[in-house]
Amino acid sequence: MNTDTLNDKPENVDEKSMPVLSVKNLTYHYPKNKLALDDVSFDIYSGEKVAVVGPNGAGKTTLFLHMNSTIKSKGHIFINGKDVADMNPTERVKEVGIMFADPDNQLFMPTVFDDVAFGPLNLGLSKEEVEQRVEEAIEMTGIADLKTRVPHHLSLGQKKKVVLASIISMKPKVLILDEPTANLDPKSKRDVLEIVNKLNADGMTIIISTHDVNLLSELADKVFVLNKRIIETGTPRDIFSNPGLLEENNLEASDIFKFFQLLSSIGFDCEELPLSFDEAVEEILTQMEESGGHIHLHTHDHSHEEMIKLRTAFQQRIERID
Amino acid sequence: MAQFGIDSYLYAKNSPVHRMNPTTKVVAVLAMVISVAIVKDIYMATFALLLSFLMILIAKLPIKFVARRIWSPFLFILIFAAALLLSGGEGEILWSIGFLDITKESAMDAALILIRATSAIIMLTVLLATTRFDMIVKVLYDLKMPVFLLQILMFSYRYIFVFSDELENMKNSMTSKGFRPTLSMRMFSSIANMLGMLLIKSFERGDDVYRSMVAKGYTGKPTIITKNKMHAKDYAFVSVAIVVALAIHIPALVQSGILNSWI
Ligand SMILES: Nc1ncnc2c1ncn2[C@@H]1O[C@H](COP(=O)(O)OP(=O)(O)OP(=O)(O)O)[C@@H](O)[C@H]1O
Ligand SMILES: [Mg+2]
Repeated sequence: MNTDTLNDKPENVDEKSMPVLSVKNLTYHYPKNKLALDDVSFDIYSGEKVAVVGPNGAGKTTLFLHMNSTIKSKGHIFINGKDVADMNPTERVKEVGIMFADPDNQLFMPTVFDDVAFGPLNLGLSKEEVEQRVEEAIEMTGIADLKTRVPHHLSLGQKKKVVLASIISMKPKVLILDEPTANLDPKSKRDVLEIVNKLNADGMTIIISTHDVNLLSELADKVFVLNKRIIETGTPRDIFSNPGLLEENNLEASDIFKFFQLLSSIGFDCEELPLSFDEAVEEILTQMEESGGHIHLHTHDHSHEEMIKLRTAFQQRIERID
Repeated sequence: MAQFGIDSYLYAKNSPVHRMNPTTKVVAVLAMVISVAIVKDIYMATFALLLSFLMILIAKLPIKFVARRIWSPFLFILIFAAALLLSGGEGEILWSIGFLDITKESAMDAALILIRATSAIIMLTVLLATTRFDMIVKVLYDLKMPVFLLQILMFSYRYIFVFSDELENMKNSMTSKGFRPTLSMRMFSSIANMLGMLLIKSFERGDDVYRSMVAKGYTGKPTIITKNKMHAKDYAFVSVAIVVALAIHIPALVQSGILNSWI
């Protein structure tokens, strides 16, 4: 694991202090089912933006269900040092808000406004405060035009944004998102990404589960690979650079990363392979500047061999996923 | 998506009835409906029925739409009225069909029930078709209806759509797997399976929804903000509606002689 890059965190992350969320030796199996979580432990610090990745059935949703004590487990989940199982609901929602994958289960009020106001009202805030929070959350998620709509006539992407707003309006310290970008169109994915990054920049700690490897580097600074156990912890780059790890856990590197792996087998030389489109643009521009407006590619002795190796590696992985 | 007619006419039309303050509308209609439901005088009941037709006109609701809405409850009332008609009872005999005597009293009773119920249903239909459901919930909340009843009402409204979508999906997936409804044991067992699945799904959904409510800090307290300001003209309208609702009973009261001591 590359520890250099792990230490390269945004300024608002404070690792020296107590972790904002810590999971300690969490083991869980559903009644009559085999193990879903096996001795999971990790710490998340204030201001971090973390992704949990792993194959279907890895236990991501199960893990999240523990984090607001939906599945009760005393002595395993602590927020700011306090056991979530010991918090009362009002106390808990101020600490942690979770957006689950199915928005229909999370929107139950007659209108979008009422859904976003639901949480703040439960906190016992005054009518004015509630309305202000609703306005903020609605503006943050860009759903002002949906305010008076009834939830059942909204599209999936709109519903997800409303759920997000309904959680943001409670201003939790830790925001947990279970597959927030699943089944969204490219534009909506971007929107969700932007909202999450804005919230994180404002100091909210974020935990996301996702199968979207192409968005991973933008969604998270740090990645936990979960497959019943915590298999690995690292930056998105650490994870993508570990073919064995990816293969064992039904994961893939991002398309850009794979493409630049391919390019490096034909002479494209860069210190760090770019993970996202933005990084790729930057890398290419820098290289072109340095070498007078050109990028030089060429085959060398092992080019062919390396390309075939990459191809089989990617194909194998695709077959596994199919 | 399955088309439930529940709110299909909400946004379509614009009329004075659509624009009316929801509290005013709910209170006025409820006053009228309660009054109509217990009116004894058949002329007054007919007057209420005409009033309900007038409401349809002012609300600019297509007759066809209203007819489709009231069709099934109307049928039910019709059967009820027919039973009443044939039950006979004491009184002047109008017709005799075989051994069944239809008396003037039972005919009047049946007509009264029919008129009363029809006008009440029409009035409620106009209310529901011109008012957003969430507004009705909020008005009922302002009128101090018990919170748990309101929540039942709210969730039924919300999840009937989810439920009907699920039913539709299942139906589609069954047809796409080659299922054709035929009168066979296999069909009955398939449908039974489908209903079973739906039931389990709704239980699970109920659980999930409750969890997500708790995850948003739900403690059972009211969770709705209402802001429905009534103006002078709204109070005036409600007063008029209540006066009319009461006035409908004057003839019956006069007849029964209760008012004699006052006048
Ligand atoms: N309510 C339940 N009852 C029994 N077993 C369950 C239940 N929910 C999940 N499981 C099992 O627990 C394991 C972990 O499931 P979980 O939903 O946490 O995985 P996940 O990582 O969220 O997967 P995905 O990426 O598909 O969402 C799976 O083997 C699953 O079958
Ligand atoms: Mg999951």
